[in-house]
Amino acid sequence: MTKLLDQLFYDLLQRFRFLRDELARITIAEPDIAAYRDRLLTQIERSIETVQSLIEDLDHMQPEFARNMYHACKRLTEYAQLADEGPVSTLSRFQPRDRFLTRLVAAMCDEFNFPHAKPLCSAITTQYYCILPRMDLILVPHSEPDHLLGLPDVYHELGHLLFRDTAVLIEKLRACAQKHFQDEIVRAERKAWPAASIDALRAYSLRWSESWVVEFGCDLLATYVCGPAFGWTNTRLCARLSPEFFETTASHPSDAARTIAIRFMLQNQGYLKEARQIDLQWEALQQTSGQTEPQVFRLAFPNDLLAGIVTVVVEYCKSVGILAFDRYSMPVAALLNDAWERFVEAPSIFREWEAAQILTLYQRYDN
Amino acid sequence: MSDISALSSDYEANSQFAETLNTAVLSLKKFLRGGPGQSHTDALAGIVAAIRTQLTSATLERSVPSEVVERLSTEHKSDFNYLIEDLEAAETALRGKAPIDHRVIVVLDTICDAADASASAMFRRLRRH
Repeated sequence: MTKLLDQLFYDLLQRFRFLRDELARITIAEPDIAAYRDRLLTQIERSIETVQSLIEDLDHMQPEFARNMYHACKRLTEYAQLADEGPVSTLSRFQPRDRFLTRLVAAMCDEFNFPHAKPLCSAITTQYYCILPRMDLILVPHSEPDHLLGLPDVYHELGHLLFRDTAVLIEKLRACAQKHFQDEIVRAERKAWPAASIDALRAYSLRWSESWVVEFGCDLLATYVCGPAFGWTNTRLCARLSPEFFETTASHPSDAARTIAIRFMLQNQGYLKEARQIDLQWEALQQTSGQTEPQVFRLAFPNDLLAGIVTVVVEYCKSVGILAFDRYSMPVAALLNDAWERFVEAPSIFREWEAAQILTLYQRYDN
Repeated sequence: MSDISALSSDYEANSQFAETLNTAVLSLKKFLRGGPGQSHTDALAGIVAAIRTQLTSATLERSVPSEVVERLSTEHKSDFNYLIEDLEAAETALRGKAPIDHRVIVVLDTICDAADASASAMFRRLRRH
């Protein structure tokens, strides 16, 4: 067993050393990008120390420690692979458009007082917008830095970073969902609902607690700080990629429910006209796609619960100093809202205006 | 927005839980062998108690990742009641009310295995999605 672990740990140690040397070798002129690289380098150096210390432990290891050592090795190996595939790979191929995107996202973060280190961003993924929270790395498709309509989705990904740091908001959202379903289950039992319906309530409750609160939380945070533009982007994303608006998965609530929650947040923030416009767009999308609301939908996503989580997010943001969208003090978020207003008004001539705005953004954030 | 973001977050929760638990169990084993360090018995008792609660009641508490609890439940379908008894006995011992013997370590190893398997499975899903 010791021989096997010896091999695994030395293999891992060599991999970490390679990643460290690779990172140190990359020439980065920009202080903000170099700061990210240095943070990662520190983490990798710590991992090297951990592996070295575990190798020393192997010399006087008791047989009963072996499996724990093996588990420790696996977690460290996963970290090495994540670092390799994510930030090391990104930094070694870093392009001007990545730098621009990283700085644009940093400006977004500053505008709403994002309480977390600013992430590195790269325009290279096949997975639409996504984030590797442990690596502070946001990935977007190649063409996104040259377009405005999808960029509000960055705010959603920033939510995942926020939730990695603090469980407070997620716990509050969970408590809100749990209270709702506990009350509903009691009510259903009193009214002698069929067992299958009560089981369904329990199943929804579990999914809300396990994962749906995170997605709702990210959407509502994004709407709070980015305003109506996030609502428009959400509708666009659903139109382009949603297989079924009312379908739920273990990790994601239905797109329809998310859209309602976003509308409630917009209404809460006073964007009544915009919320109505987005709602009309959503209705048109449902009609065009021929999708109708299934009976159980309101059981899983009742309006009072969706309104409740909006209140929780607003109160949380206010309590920690996260700023609500303000057209006059948030130029990037304001631009994204302007973009959507112009696009909705005249989609055929939008690109010309958008290209000019992108050029200006590049001049401001990539020099 | 993509499943990758949600999966990454889930992986991170499972990975952190597995790492924290494994480190504490290893530390306890070393401590029991007369080695240096801390026993972490209070923290481990809390984890064992939380798993028992999540396994036995309709609680919505989620301090232990649900994947770990589900895995334990599935793997111990045939001896579920024994598992609950063992968890109870392990918690009692870790709270200092009984000696920490081999059976307690077996229970902790069982949880470590489930946590490791959950983290590994998620990491795999993250790249083969």
